[in-house]
Amino acid sequence: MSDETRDLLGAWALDAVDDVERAAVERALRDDPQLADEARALKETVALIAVHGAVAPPASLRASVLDRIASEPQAGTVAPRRTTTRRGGARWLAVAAAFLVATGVPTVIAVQQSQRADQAQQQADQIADVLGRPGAQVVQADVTGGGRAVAVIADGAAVLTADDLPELDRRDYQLWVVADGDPVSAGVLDADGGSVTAQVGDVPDGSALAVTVEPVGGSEQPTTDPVVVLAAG
Amino acid sequence: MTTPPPGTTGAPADRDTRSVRLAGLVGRVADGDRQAFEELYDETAAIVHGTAVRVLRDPDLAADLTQDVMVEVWRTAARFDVTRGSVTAWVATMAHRRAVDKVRSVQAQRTRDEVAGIKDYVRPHDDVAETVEHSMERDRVEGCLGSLTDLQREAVMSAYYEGLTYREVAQDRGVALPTVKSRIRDGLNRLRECLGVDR
Repeated sequence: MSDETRDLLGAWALDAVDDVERAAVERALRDDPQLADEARALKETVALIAVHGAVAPPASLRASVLDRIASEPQAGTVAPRRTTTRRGGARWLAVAAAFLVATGVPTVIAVQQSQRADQAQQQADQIADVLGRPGAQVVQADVTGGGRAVAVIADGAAVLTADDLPELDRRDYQLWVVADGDPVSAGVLDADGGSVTAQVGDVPDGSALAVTVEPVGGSEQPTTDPVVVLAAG
Repeated sequence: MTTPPPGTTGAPADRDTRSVRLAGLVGRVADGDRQAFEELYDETAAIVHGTAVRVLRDPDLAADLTQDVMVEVWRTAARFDVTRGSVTAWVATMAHRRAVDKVRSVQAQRTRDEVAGIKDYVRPHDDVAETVEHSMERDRVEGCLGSLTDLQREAVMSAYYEGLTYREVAQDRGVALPTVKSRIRDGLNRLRECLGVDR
């Protein structure tokens, strides 16, 4: 690692570098665990500057945030399921299991990802739930840049799975539900190991799913062209 | 300077206690625990908002950003990895990156008051509802910032709170690039040692 990059570590920790320099520093951090430790310590130090500069937000903001999270799905977890849409549970579970095998969705990775023994079951449940809805269709497409995405899209819900996605550097994959050309965020995808599974509970009839690459934490609106678009035919 | 620098004997116990407590809260938030999120909000929203207010210098934009970041904390809690840093660093990094992206995207630097960031940081923080730990930490940082040279402190604080790159700091202040880089690097390292942040 060059001394020049090491010299930039302080500026990097303060977000005071441009995108090219940031990429160079972060590449160096991946190759040098000792430097990565130093970088982590500098980030912790910078965070304490932020603690020092803390300012209480307007009191009304707390209620607004709590209000928003009440309807905000969490990345990497299962959205609440509407039990009224579940029917013929056992039969659809069998279909879901077949779907997992047929599309090569690795349940092993799902378990590793979440470290939850019941994750594979939840994933199968999600797919079964969507497959059980009227008009369910399976659509698949290659992802620009690498990997393959498969989705089950039905009235009111969809499940997306994708595999072999390239690792992103300080960027996140973000899922969008596109109805009438208007994208609505369905959250940032947890793509550890290049695999994702996401359930979307609010899918208007005729919607498409799209995935874009966004700044860490996601964007309000897509800032890049989708790497994949999946639409029911 | 009223608070002596605590020296280089490792992280103070109250910081460790807070780190462990916040990591526990994030774990519960990742499981969808709204009560835990409320506690986490009370512990971290002021850090987010302080960063947003200082970098953006617009109360409405800052409030929007604080709201977005706190919702993102809820949304992505499952991705927090304690081996990669503290909750405080996770949240502060998220807030600062977003604020800086916003400032740079609207190219607003030129229209903003260049010295306000420096004045802001010494302003009393009477408006902060805070825990005892938080207040101890703030006093420590105050003391340690005082142990930097004026030039180091100015370079670090203007880079952080004006959302400037070190190149822009150099240009703005009419100082050579290597000089700015070393002021930032040496200033941050001195701060790190003074605050007892372990490598």
